[in-house]
Amino acid sequence: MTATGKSEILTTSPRATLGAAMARHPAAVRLAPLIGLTWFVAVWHLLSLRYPPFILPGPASVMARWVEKLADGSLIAHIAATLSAALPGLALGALAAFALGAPIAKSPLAERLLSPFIVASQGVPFIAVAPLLFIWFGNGLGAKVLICALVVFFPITINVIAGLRSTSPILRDLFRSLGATPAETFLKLELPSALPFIFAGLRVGGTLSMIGAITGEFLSADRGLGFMINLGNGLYDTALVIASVLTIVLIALGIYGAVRLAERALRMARWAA
Amino acid sequence: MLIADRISHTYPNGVEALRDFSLRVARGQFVAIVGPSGCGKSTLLRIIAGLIQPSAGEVRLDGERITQPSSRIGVMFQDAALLPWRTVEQNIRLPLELGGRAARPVAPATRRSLIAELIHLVGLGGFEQAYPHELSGGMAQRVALARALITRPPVLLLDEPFGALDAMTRENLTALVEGILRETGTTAVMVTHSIAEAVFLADHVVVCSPRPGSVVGNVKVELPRPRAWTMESWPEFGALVGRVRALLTQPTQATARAKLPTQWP
Repeated sequence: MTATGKSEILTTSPRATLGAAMARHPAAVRLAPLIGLTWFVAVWHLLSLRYPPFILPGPASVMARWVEKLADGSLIAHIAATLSAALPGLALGALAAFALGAPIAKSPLAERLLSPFIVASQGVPFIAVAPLLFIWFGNGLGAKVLICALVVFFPITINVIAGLRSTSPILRDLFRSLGATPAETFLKLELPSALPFIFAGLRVGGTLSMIGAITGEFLSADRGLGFMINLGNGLYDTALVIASVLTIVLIALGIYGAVRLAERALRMARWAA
Repeated sequence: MLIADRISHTYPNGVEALRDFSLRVARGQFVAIVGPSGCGKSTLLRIIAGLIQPSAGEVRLDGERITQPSSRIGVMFQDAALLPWRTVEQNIRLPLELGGRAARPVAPATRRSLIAELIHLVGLGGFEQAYPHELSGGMAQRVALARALITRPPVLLLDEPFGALDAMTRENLTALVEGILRETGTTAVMVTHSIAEAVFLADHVVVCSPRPGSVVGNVKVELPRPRAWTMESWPEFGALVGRVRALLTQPTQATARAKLPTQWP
C-alpha cells in the first residue's frame, strides 16, 4: 500500500488538485498558463522597446531568428549534437546510479565504502572539472557525455537508494515466509516498490542532463546549442542567444514529459506483475 | 504435530520477549494464543514461522526442526500485506512464483482453476481484476487468506489478522476461516487479543503472561463444529470466555499494582 500511496503523491495528486480547482473555476484555471505566458511576452515586448536589440531583443525578433535557424536546418543539427551528448550521458549516469545505489541500499559495508564518494561527487564543481575531462578524454563526444553523466548521477543515486529502502517490512516478511530467493525479492518486491522514486530521480536527472551537455559545449565544441549560445554572445546576436536558451528549456521540458510518459506506460503495462 | 519446545527469546536490544514458552498442537487442531499486548505472542508466531531464530528452544513440525521459513507453514499477517501493484488474482498466485517454484511451475490450467476455486471459496467473485486500494479491509484479508491457502500448507499461522476490522466483518471472516480450516483439516495457531474470537475459533485457548511471555494456562474449548456466532449467547461460551479472562487478568493486575509508585510525586 505504501508504494502506491507514495507514487500517487508524486504523480497524480497535483493533477487531482488541479482537477478540483478546475471544477471550481473552470475557465480561469484552464487558461491560467496561457494568461501567464501572454503577460510574460507582453512585458518582455514593452521592455524591449526601451533597449537596443543587442541588449534585449523583442519576442518577435527572437521568434524570427528561431524560425530562420530552423528553416536553414542548423537548429536541428545543433539540437541533435546536444542531445547526442545529453541522452547517452543520462543513460550512463542512470546506469552508474543503479550500479552504485543498489549495493549501497542493500549492504552497510557498501554504504560505508561508497557513500563518501557519492556525496563528494555532488560537491565537485563540475564546471571547473570539465576542462580536466577534456584533457583526459579529448575534445570529442566522450568528455561531454561524461560531464552529463556526472551531473545526473547524484539525484538519481539518491532516489535509487531511497526507493530500494522504501520496501514495507511486512511485505519483506511475507516474501521471506514464502521462501523467496534474494533475486525474486529484488525483482518482484524491492524494484517495483522503488519505481516511483527511480522515476522521480530520472525526471530531475533528465532535465539536468541538458545543463551538463550545454556546459560541455560551452567549454569546447563546434556545434550544439551551447556552441550556438557562445556564437551568439560573440557576435552580440542576443536574439540568437535567447532563441537557443528557449530551445534548451523546451527540450528539458520534453525530456521531463517523456520520462513521465514512460512511467505511465510502465504502470499501464503492469510491468511489475 | 507442531511443537514449540521451551522457547525463550531476547531481542538484541535486551528486551526479553519470551521465557520457556511451550506449545503442542495436534494435526488439524486450532490453537489460539491470547495475552496482553507486548507479551511476545507475535514473536512466538514469527519464531514458529521460521522468520526469527529463538535464543533458546526449538520448533518442530512432525519431528522436523524448523529453522527457516517452510512451504509447509503459511502465514497471515496483521496487515493483509498485499502488493499494491498486483490485482487480486495476481496477489493470490504470488506464492506459486516464489521460492524457485517458477522453475517448476504449476500447469497454467491447474493454476487458473485453483485460483478461481479459492476466489470463490473466500467470496471474492467479481473482484479478480481489482487492485488492493479498491478493496475494503475485510476483502483485503480475504485475499490474504486465499494467498495463504494456495500452496495448501498443512499449518497456518494467523497473527491478529482480524484486529483492524470492524465487528461485523470480523464475525463474517472468523466464521469463514473456521469453515475453511475445518474442511481442509489445516493445523492453525492464531495470536489475538479478542477472547471471544479465540473461543469461537479454537480447540485450545492458550493464555500468555505479560512480558516475558510464558504460558499461564490452557482452556480447552469443546463447543461443537461448525461454529456459529449465535453460540456466543450460549452459557458454555460465556463460561469459557470467563475462564480465559480470569487467567488473563490476574497476572496483569499484579503487574499493574507492582508498577504503581508507592508515593505519587
